Amino acid sequence: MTQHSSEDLLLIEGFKQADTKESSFTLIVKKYQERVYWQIRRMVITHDDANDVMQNVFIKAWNGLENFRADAQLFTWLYRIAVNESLTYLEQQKKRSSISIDGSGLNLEDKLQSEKDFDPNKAVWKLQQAIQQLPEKQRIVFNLRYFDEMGYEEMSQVLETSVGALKASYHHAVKKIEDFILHH
Amino acid sequence: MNSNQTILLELKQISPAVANLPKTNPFSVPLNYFENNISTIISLIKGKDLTQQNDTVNFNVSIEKNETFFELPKDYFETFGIQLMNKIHTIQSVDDELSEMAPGLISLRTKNPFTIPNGYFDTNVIETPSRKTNLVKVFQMKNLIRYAAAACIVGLIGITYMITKEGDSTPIVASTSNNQQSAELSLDDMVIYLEQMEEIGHDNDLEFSNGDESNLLVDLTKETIEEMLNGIPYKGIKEFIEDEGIMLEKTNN
Repeated sequence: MTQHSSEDLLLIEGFKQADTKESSFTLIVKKYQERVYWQIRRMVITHDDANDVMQNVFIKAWNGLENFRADAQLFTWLYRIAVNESLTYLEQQKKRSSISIDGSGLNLEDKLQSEKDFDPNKAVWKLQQAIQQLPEKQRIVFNLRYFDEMGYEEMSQVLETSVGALKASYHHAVKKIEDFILHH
Repeated sequence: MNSNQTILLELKQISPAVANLPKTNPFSVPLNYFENNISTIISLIKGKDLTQQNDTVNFNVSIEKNETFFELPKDYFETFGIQLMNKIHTIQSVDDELSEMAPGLISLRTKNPFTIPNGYFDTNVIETPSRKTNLVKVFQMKNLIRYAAAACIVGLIGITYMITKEGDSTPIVASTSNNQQSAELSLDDMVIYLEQMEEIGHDNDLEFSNGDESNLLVDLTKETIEEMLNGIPYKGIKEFIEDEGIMLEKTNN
């Protein structure tokens, strides 16, 4: 069974009480929103999209926290919702862009280049460009490992994938990024 | 070793180039976004909850009072009867309307210039023509012949295809045709054929024996034969002749 932090347990218990529900949830949002936001932002790229997805994530968390079981950490659970919501959002955007005439909103690379401070000569942006070239699964694994410094065990709970497969995905992702950076 | 160091070490092993990249975040967020975001989310959730509550209340009310959500004018059912009667009164009859528009036409309205034969409506029984029902035969010989002809054509095509397609079947057919040819031959033809074959066989045998003899024969002179015979004792020659004589008799028998 997963070890929960005592603070998280208190927050979950507080959420289940009617009089402390809102205050407990506010504290949960306050505690995890930034980490959740950046995970989403790296996936959907633009702030507006990330904001939409994050609101959906916490609305889902509000609806589901009542039945939250202690077989996963609160943060892992929130991350899983964030990943699923981000993927759903991107899928919806793909469908929308395939319908629309101009095909807008499809390419994450274009979105990246439209960022305010985008500079292709800077290493940080080049890294982001390299990440956008990766397949979806490898992109998520790389972001969780590289930026969020998440362990493989925890990652396997978030993505419901074996540790071995995650290690392989991460290895391939890093090699592809290296190749992109060296040849661009 | 903490997890950060483990991750960095792992990355260096996979790719030192990627490990040396700056890990700074290039993205930016609006000022005080995270501070305001909490209240936004809470208000969103509250709004959603409120909507859900309203929906529940409305649903319960509709069940209890058996009301609909469609709007009706005030006192609609109470005033409906009066409104209906007023509507009826306002509708003018055809005569009233015609008297207003063209009074001279009212007298003409009932007069009919057309005539019909006497007792037409009494005697006129409309005879419905008896329908001839065309009986359609389910089983028709014509169709059967057509299907049979089609089946034959398909069969012929299939057989032709099988013959041309399958290489193995060709020899069988060929051998069958040879048999048929042999069956058509007369007895005399067969005898002539066999005699010819026998002669050919004899010729072959002769050729073979001649060949063997030519290899086996040795030129023997009289002197050589005399020497050979002198070397054999008389008694032995006598016994040989006697044996040959017995042998000749046996062969004659």
